Amino acid sequence: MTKVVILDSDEKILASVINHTGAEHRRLANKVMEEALEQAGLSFDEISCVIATGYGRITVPFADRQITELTCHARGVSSFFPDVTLAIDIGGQDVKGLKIKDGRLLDFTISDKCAAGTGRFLEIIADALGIKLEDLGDISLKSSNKVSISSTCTVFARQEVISRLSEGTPLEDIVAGIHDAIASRVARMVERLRVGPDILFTGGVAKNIGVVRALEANLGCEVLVPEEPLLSGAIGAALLGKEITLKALANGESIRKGERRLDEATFFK
Amino acid sequence: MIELLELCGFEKQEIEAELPRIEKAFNRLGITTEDIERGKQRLNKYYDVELKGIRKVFRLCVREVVSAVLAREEGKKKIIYGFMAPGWEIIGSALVSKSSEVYAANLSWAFQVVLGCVFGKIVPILEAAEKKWLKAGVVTHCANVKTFLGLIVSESVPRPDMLITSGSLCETAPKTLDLLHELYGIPVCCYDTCQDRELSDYLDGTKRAIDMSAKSLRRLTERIQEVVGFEITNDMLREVMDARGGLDRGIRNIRRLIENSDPLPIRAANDNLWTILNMLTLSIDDLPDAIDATNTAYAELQERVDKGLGVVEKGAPRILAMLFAQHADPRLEHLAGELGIAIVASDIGLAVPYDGATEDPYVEISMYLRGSLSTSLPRRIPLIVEGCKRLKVDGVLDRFHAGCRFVSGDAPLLKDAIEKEIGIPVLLLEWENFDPRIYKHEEYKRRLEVFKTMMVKKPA
Repeated sequence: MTKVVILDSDEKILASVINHTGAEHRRLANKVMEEALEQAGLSFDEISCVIATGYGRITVPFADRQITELTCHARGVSSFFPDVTLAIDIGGQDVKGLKIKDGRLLDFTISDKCAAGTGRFLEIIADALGIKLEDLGDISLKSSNKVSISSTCTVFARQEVISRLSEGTPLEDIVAGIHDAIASRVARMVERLRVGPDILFTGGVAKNIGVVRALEANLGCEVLVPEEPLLSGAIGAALLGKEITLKALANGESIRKGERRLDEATFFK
Repeated sequence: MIELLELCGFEKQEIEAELPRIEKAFNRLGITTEDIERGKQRLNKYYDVELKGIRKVFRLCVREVVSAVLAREEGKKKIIYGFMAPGWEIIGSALVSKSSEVYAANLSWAFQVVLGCVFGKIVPILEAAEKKWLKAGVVTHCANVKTFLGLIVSESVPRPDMLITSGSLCETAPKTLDLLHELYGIPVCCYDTCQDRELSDYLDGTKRAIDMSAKSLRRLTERIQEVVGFEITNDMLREVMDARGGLDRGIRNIRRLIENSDPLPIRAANDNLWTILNMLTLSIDDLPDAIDATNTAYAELQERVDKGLGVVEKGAPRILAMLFAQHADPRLEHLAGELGIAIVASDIGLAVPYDGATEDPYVEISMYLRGSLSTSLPRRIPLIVEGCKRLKVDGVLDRFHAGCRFVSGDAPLLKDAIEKEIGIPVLLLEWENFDPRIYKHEEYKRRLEVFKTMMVKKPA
């Protein structure tokens, strides 16, 4: 997903846009920026600093700076919950664990070798089960006897799910088993980063209440979820943009590279 | 080919004389015209070949590879390969100094430089080993062992008359060599270096362990004497050790200069070359060339330092990298440099020799084996922590060789200790120090970029 957040100088969110990321990153960046500006009622020239983050950050043609998504996540997470010391972000591409102190990233772990446990994994499982992705959470909460899904590989887990279905296992028990498989894997992954009880869960998968509950069970504590878990990185980027702007102003410098324009751009340009 | 050899430090006259041998050896190794072109590009891209000293190291590596491939047909009557056998390079140097009919080498290192780093073509050798018992896939077998096995089973090098190893650093090496003995009847000698001690003994570096290694090394020499048919005297070893002292000092001087310079005066991938240079079983006649390479490089680097020239910006985050630079693929070190991270040292540069002196060469080699790099974690941790403080690094790249029990288990413990003692970030990176196939550019780039932001930058 591609997200845009526009903050004002008081750190109030003026606009936020979330859209599906396609192949043409540059064109999409322009499109979502246009939407965000319209929502905020601003012209592009009124934006003091544009920070791009995430996988596609180098393909945002109008960005003033690029900052890694983990740094942005750490900053964003701390703005919601200053006491949080561990953030778990499960997005479409990967799973991240962030150890944070005072908004600063101290350590991290990333699972980006395979799709297991990611949002994409859940999409594939939902497709195999013939249900909507957004329904997975509520369905799993009805389970009274979750099954054990042994495969951590997306393809093998899908086979296992289909096999369970053919055995007549109730849908909710399969979905709960899938959520537990993700949660136990993530809990092991972030174990080394844990220093306290305050744990925040962000990313698209944090919208799935079933995974939230499974994470709580595996971590043995409550897991906090922000109001809009998809935006923590974008909010962090905007906050860092504000800091950069203030620093530049204090030094009498400009961070803008020139006139702000949303040029028509394609994947190939 | 000639351009490539010039980049590798060969002089015109030597090229004329050596070209037929080199071409024959490269043909045997399957090096094509495309490989030569790629080799030139890689040398220019990843290494500081504008420095004569660097080119001279490549020259010695190419010479070693050519000599290994052609050893049998060039009349070597006895061929001995050592593998994961620290200290063997001294005995090997003594052997090749004494007799032109003997070829002795630490087999894999020079091949990793030439086939891996230069030509980007080590994979066929690894695959040859994987077709035998070091299968790819489920179990992570060390690609250094695969390189050694692959070179032999692919017949890239002649079958040896003797194989030498130890359990000092690696338990897979003796097992692999034992299998080679079982399959091909090649005599194997594994000298004992006594790793199986009480943990408390490590802290003392016991005399008992040193005596045992020395005794085992003497037995090794007796076995070698039976194979080569001449005596290896203490004087021969002492002569080699004295000559190699100049090489050790040259390498140490370069490492100290790099560690203490800001900006970093040379790309980090070059660090591998100093490690390899020290592993070559150079004869007394060849050692001056190696020492000259280090002295030349030192002078050239000093000039860069004096002029304030660097390969990354002054004030760039300084890091210590665990493990030497990748032996067969310079891309990770290159990536770090591109991202503005200065790898100023690897833990090999923190090596502390065993504290003691002796006239007995075997005891001295054994003392070397008790040095900091081949010792236990309780002893290594304080050395590394102190090293970090001395080097004033901003972070540690703890790449752990996943196929190695000796180092992979240490990684999280080392990370905890460094973070607790110094409070600098440590990036754990699952790693293979000899296999280029594991390189995942995006994954590493992402981690290194984040790691860079975690390090507190010093003002330039």
